Amino acid sequence: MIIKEMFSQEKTKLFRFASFILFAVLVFSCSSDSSGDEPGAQTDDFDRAEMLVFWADQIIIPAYENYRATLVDLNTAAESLDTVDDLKTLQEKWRAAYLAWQGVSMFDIGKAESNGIKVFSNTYPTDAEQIELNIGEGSYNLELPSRKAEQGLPALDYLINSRTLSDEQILEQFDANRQSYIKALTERLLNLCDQVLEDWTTGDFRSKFIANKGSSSTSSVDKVVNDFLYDFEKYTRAGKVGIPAGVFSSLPIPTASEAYYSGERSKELLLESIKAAKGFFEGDSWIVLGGGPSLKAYLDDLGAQKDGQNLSELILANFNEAENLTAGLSSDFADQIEADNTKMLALYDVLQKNVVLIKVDAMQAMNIQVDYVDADGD
Amino acid sequence: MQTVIDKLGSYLNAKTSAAPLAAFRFIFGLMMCISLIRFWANGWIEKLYIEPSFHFHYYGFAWVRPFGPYTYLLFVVCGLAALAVALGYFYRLAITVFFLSFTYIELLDKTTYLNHYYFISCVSFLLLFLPAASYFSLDAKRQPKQSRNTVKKWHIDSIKLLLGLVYFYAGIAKIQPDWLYEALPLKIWLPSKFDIPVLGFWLQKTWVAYFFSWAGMLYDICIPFLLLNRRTRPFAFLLVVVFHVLTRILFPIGMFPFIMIVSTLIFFEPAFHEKLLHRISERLRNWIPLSASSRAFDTPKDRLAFLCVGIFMLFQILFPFRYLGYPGKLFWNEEGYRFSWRVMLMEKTGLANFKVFDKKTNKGFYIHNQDFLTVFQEKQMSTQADFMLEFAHYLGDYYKMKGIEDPAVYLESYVSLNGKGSRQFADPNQDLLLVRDSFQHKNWILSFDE
Repeated sequence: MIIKEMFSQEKTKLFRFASFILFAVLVFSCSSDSSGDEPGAQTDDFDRAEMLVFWADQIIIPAYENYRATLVDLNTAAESLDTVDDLKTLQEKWRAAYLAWQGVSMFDIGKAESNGIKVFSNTYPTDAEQIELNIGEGSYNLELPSRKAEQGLPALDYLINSRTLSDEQILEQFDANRQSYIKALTERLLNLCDQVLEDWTTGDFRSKFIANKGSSSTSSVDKVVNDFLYDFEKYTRAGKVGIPAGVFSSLPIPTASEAYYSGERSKELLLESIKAAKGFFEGDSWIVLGGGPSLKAYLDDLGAQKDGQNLSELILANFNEAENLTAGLSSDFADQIEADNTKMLALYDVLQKNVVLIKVDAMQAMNIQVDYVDADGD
Repeated sequence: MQTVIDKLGSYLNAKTSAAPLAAFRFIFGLMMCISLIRFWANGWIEKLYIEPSFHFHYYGFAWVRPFGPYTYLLFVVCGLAALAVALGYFYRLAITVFFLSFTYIELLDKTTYLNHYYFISCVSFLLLFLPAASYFSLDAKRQPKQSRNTVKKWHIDSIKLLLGLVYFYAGIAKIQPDWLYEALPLKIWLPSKFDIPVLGFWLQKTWVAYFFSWAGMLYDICIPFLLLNRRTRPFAFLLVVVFHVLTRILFPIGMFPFIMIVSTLIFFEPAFHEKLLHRISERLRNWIPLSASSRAFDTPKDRLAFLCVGIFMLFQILFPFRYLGYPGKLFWNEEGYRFSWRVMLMEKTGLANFKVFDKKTNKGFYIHNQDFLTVFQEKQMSTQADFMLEFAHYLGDYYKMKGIEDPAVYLESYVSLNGKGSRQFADPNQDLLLVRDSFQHKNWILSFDE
């Protein structure tokens, strides 16, 4: 009780003051863990909410609608495969779908992320051996993750195109089992796409996407930008160019080119993919002529520069250079690699330059974490 | 001269209430226990220490390895030790076990290096030498004859000094052109926090970034002195709270702000701590009593402890300046960067592509970092030279095992510092397998010229 007497009034006050503050800190810190996105709280000069609406309504949803339309055609074309003309139609519809796919490949968000449309629709090189086994057995579960290399656009490429056989010879192979496998593949593609598109349109994903306009690592902008970068780095730079050109192996792997069996599509697929990336970066609307708010505008708004030049200009110039270099290549990358791989490697270097600009410079300017890591900082 | 020694002698003998030290011990132990539980609950033990097949080691500590699933046991031991420290139960043993196990955990992988983990290791090392459980502890209850309600003044001052050093060094580290004249990296970080209620609007303003930069620097440098002075102390504590809460809102820094806030309570008068402990003891129904017998100190032992603490403090004062021994830009090379209280000072982003080259066939290929590293490891590796070197050697060993008899490993890397634009970081023509890691300057780092 001696202790109690030691306290003057002043000390008690100080104690109360300190305990109050500590209490306030604890309450405050606990509630700040889930920082809510209040409507109207956004005060950034650059309107990220507006950008999300633009992305959803004028790029992502139209791109999926476009892709879906090509898949509907593809399905119809796969119904009857009796004549060489039927086959030619199927090949043409497959080509259109493959090109349209390049426009949605990067949007690995929402249902696309959960249903795995990306890996199920475009994993290549395809597993020809397993495809033949599946056809022989006549039973397969295409929904298993382990079956990703036995389906999608690359599997169709294997089934309806050939580097050696004529169309007549391909047609000759089309027994009932083969035809129903083709049909199963086109239906699966359409089904995956429908799931994604429905979630955007009739489901509530669009509103969730737009409402998630904050700056956290799980916000829509952060996610889409990461997906965009990932697609460009892993699928465009590495998948379409680097891996077949042998950047990641001792020897080139021409058979790993996209649409290898068609013997003529890898270049236009790459061009379409670069176009999609560039269009997304610039904010090219699918609906109206001209651009909307996108990463270029965002970077310009932040005043992002490199070596005295606008960072966005440098990135665009690089996209253009990649397009130019691609234009000078053979329409079939497998041929190009065997004839003159240095051109492929030169293209890889240009794509790599843009990966550096986007992944290092642009991400830093926008303060978006690459592959967000859930751990404490300092 | 004689007076100096006299003064030191009388300082060493000066006594004060044991309450501040006991309260510090209690709160510190409790905070550590909570931190470890939080770490576990977040799944980080699994993710950071068990899942990765490869770990980045501190120089000379390559022998520190996780124990697979038994790593959890290490955390259990560490957490129980923290709890025992809080309760003052077999204190010497508890704090020793805590210091060793916690430091061992931190040495597992330098990917997870944080200044505040280092701070915790430092505090627990210091606590090894202090009689923090002589009062308000289960030890004091167990052995009443060993209990005492006074400690030496230097016991408490040493904690104040360590805390003061952390702040002061963090402050002088901010005295550099990027931070003060360009408000970098705050100018990059703050605008992206636009969605924080109320504050978000102001964070867009450039002047706010400058204000925060200067205020942060002044705060860090001044706060130890403001806390020491009895008259400015309440104001200083208010600043401490505001500052740390603000950093907690703006940045993902976990428990650190709270640990710092409660640690600064050590600067308060003994009466405050007496009252605090009294309240806690009441709440615990006197399970941990406040009674103590005032027995004299075991002086020779105490002198030895003072010597150890003195050497430790000297180390703390000098070690952060080791960067002066290295050429080039500190933030770029990061030689002598860690363990120096440089907290949230820069924004660095990087990309590192490793090329494994077979010198026999003259063929090479790039590897995918994520085939070997976690996302977190890759991220830390991409901007720090010692990580790159260790990884290069790991790749060399790996591909030797895979049949490349005479490999070389080249690195193509780009780093951007504080939004200054990406530039090549390492010499792409240097076979990193020919370089051994050491405390020497890494001359394969390309210089950062503005």
